[in-house]
This record gives sequence, C-alpha cells and structure tokens, in this order.
Amino acid sequence: MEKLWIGLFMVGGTLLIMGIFLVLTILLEKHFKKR
Amino acid sequence: MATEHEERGSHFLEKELNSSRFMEKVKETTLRVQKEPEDLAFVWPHLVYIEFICLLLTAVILVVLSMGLSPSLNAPLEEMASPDTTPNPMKAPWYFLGLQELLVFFDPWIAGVVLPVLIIMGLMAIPYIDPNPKGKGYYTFSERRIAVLTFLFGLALWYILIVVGVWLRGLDWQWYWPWEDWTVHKPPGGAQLVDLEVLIQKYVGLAPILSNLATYAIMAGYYVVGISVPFLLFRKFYKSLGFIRYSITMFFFLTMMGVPLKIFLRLVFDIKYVLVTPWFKI
Repeated sequence: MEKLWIGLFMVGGTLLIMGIFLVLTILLEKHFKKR
Repeated sequence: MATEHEERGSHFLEKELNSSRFMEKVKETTLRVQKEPEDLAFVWPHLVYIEFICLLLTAVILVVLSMGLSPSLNAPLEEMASPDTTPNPMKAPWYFLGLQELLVFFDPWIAGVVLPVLIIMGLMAIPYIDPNPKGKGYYTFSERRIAVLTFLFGLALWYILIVVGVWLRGLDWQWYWPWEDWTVHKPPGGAQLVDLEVLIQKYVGLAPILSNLATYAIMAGYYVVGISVPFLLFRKFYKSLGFIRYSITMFFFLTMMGVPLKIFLRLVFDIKYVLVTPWFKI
C-alpha cells in the first residue's frame, strides 16, 4: 500500500511542478507580448 | 563624442562584419535595433566595471552574513564535523539531492556520471536540433508546445527527486512521511530486489544465458520501438527534423523517459537491474 502512495506522490508531484512552471511560462509570454 | 580608440574599434568591427558572408546573411534575416552606434556604450569597461563592483559588494555581504551574523540569525548549523561519527542519513547539499536520490535506482556510475553527462549534452543539443524558424531569440509556449512540455517534464523530474531527497528520506535513506517518527529506524525494505533476467528465468523458463540475452533485446527493443513509432505515426515531425536530428532527439527523449520507467519498475516490481552486462548494469 505504501508503494502506491509513494508512486502517486511522485507522479502527482512531477505533474504539479510541471504545472507550476507551465503557468509561469504562459504568464511570462503574455507579459512580454503586451510590451 | 567617441574617443579615438572607440572609433578605431568600431571601424575595425565594421570592416570585419562586411568581409564576412555569414554576417551579411544575418543582416538579411534579423531585426535590427534603430539606434546609431554613438548611443551605445562598450561592455568593457563600462558594464564590466559596474558588474565588478556588484560582485565585490555581494561577496562582502555574503562573508559578513555567513561569518558574523549566522549565529545571531539562528542559522541551522550542525555540530562540528567529527571523523568518528557519520550522520545518518548522510545528505548532500539540496541541489545535489536529485542525483543522490537517483543512486537509489541506478548504479553510481550511471547515476553520477552517465546521466548528468547526458542531461548536459541534451541541453546543449537543443539549439541545434530545433528546426522551428518561429520566435528567433525567444522560446514561447505557443510556438513550441511539445518542446516546452518535454523540457518541463525533465525539469519537474529533476525537482521531484530533490523534493524526495530533502523532505522524505530519513534514517538509512528509507522513505519517511512528514508525520512519521523520524528518530525510529525502519526495518529494511520488505521484498528482495531481483534482476529482470532472474524474473524472466523464473516466469518464462528460459535458460540463464538466454534470459540475459532477452534483457539485451528488451533494452534494444525499447529504443527501436520508441524511435520507430513516432517515425510511423508523425511523419511530418520526422520530416521537419531529418534523420540525424530526429535520431538524436529521440535518443535523448527515450533516455529521459527511461529514468522514470526504471524508477517505476524498481518501486512496483522490485527490479534491481533491467540490463546486466559484464561492463555496466542498468
């Protein structure tokens, strides 16, 4: 059972970090398009 | 007004630029800033001078902070290092903990040398394998969706390993959740780790040599299938890159995806090595 939680944590964490950086990427792009 | 030295410098530069066919090509295809050369200042000495002062100031501030103020700021310093006692767990600085965490899943030679070298080489290769003419000098998500997502996946993989190493590895490098008691030793991992070829021997019934050969075939098959599937399904992608760029891209991509795959095999099926050769083990 612990394996499942570890796996979920690693997959979820990877996706979360990807999501954070993706939002930053898109915000940066919007910011520089305005200028 | 420009000094004689600067005038000579810019004259020399102009001659150089005109004599080079490459620069003519660049002039044709790049945007140019509408500024006369008189408005510009040289990097050396004008910028470097300011940067050097910043460097000195930063160094002074860091020295004062680390030597003078850290005890009063309650820096989390540990006791004096002693050769008699090794801390448990022995953790690298946080920025290396991703690499240290990889050591759980790979041999030191693979985790510490081969993978970092491949990461650096792959990052260096990006500008050369990118055929996208859009967005020269800037790399936005709307113009490079797959490229940006692939890069972000690799970056996130690096960071999740750091997160695990920093916050979830306790005594004996065992997995500790934040709410568990970090002062109590956990029993060593339940299941015994086995190599993939041992599993093939056991469940397929092949002879030891044949099952070892089968692991070579599986490893080669991973790369062959991984390289040929996008070739067959996304012919436009292949054509935009050409054979050499496509092969390099797919090699790095498959190697990157292989890392979480190996971690998965290790966590779920307790597989120690996927491939055992006389020279290295993966």
